[in-house]
Amino acid sequence: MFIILMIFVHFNIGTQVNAAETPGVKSAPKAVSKAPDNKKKLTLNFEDETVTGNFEAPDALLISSRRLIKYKELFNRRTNFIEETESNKGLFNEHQK
Amino acid sequence: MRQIRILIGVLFFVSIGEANVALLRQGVKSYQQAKYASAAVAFHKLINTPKITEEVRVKANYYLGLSLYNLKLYQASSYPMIKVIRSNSNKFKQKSLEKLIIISNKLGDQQMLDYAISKMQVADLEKLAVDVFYFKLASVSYDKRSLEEGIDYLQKALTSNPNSEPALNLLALSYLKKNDVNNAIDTYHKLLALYAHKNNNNPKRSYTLLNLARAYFQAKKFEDAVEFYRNIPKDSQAYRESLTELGWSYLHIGKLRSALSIIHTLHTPFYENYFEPESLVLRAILLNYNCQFDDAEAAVQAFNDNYANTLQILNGWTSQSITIADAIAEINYATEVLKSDKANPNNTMDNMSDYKGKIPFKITRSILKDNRLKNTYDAYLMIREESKASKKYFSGIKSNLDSFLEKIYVGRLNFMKKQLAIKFNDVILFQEKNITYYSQQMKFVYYEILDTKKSQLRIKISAKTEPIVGEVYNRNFYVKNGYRYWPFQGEFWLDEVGNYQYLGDKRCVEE
Repeated sequence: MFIILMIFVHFNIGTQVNAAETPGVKSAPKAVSKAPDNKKKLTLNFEDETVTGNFEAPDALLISSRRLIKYKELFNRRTNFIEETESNKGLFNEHQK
Repeated sequence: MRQIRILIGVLFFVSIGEANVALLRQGVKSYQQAKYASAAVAFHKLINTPKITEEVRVKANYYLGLSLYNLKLYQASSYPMIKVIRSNSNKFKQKSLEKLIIISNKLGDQQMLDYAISKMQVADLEKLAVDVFYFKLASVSYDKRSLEEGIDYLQKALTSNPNSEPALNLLALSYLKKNDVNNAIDTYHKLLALYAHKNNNNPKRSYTLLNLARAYFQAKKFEDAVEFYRNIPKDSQAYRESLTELGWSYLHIGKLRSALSIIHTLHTPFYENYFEPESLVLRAILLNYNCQFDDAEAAVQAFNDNYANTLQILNGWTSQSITIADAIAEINYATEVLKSDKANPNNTMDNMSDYKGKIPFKITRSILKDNRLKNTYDAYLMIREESKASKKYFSGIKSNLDSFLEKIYVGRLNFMKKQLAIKFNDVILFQEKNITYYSQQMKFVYYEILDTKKSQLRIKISAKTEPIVGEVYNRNFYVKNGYRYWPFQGEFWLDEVGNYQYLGDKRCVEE
């Protein structure tokens, strides 16, 4: 009986799991795809959050909510008025009285 | 018999020769007596007489050009001048070239000027036209963006005439483009000194003050910029243009109340028919900095109400094929309204519902002030006035000259109308891009307002709801909702404009 018990312990010792090691939360589902040559197992992890919609022009409010953009840095604060100064150039020509 | 025929032939040609000389003398005499209309008729008749010598023809063309020039029919005077330039005569060619440069300057005709410049050397010029010649070379260099070359020509022009206003203005503008702000400021001061004895609201003086303030702004000397912006008189054309820029200057030096006071002037009904999208963007930015979210969102809404529809209209205009008549009609509708406005300065044009143009009046008004269109439009108006004047001068005189002049003016006016239509459409495209750009900026401002609102709500808005106001002023006209203060009785816009004082306190709560 003792020998049977020792054999059972020998085969199960690697698989014994403590309560502390037990994960409290179920892990997210994992998708497994097999490489054609069976050398490696590829796992695609879907735990990253995804942004739906057009990836080239994601919704500005969504990005703003992630605090990825500071809009006040996008305001173009004026540094010169050259275009406006050019627009009154003609006033100083002779035929402009 | 044969000898008699030869004798009659010789006598015939001699009599023609004598008649031509007499006509030439008559024309020169009228010219010397300042009877330019009669002189022009005589010279034109002589030019169209067959069998005159080349020398006489050239002389007659030259004096015809001078007579028309003295009658201020500049466009028409250029035609005989060009004929003289194309001739083989050296005597009148140089004088005609000098005159043509002056005529092209008066009309703003670049093509005519390029032609004249291609035919001459500066050593041939009399002192009178040297500065004009170099100024025009500088204009060509400026348009080609060769600023160093242009500055070089302008300094030569100023050596010849140190008080040349166009040269000083273009020199200062070239320095600004090169970001050589100190030289730009010095040049504008020189130009301003030329107007020391002019009226305060003289347009050139006002715009020089405005340009000088802009130069200080570019040099980041915002306090000095504010000083010069505030010196622009309220009854000048430059005043309204200066307000948004003064708002930006106050923002740069952190004076939000002063900036909001200025912007409030721009958003009174007195200025409701002006194109000012930037002022609404600036207003929203300022109110957001002060955490006044309701007012900031109202500014965003005002922008969308005023300009979203405008963008659709402009898109509609540019997407269809527009005729010359359509473009000219838009210009004429706007100029009619402007003329009636000038006649009654107290008219605020409250009711624009009967405006006939397809493009909103405020857009056309700003297009007419755009440099690309303004020069062509001014030249078109000048030629139209010349056409009317030429009919007055020559209506009582029997000659072929009036039909000759009519042909010139009809041709030029048709050409100018085509140019106007092309430039009108170009400026519309530019305004479309402008509005699209400000719409984008307004979106960024709106998202920033939402962000700031969220962060402030998180911190919890201060319990203080009434602004702290000074005790010095009389509060009889205190208006609670906007913290605005009217120091006047009743409504008289011309007094109120520029006198609003924003008294609000800082509304942001620190963490």
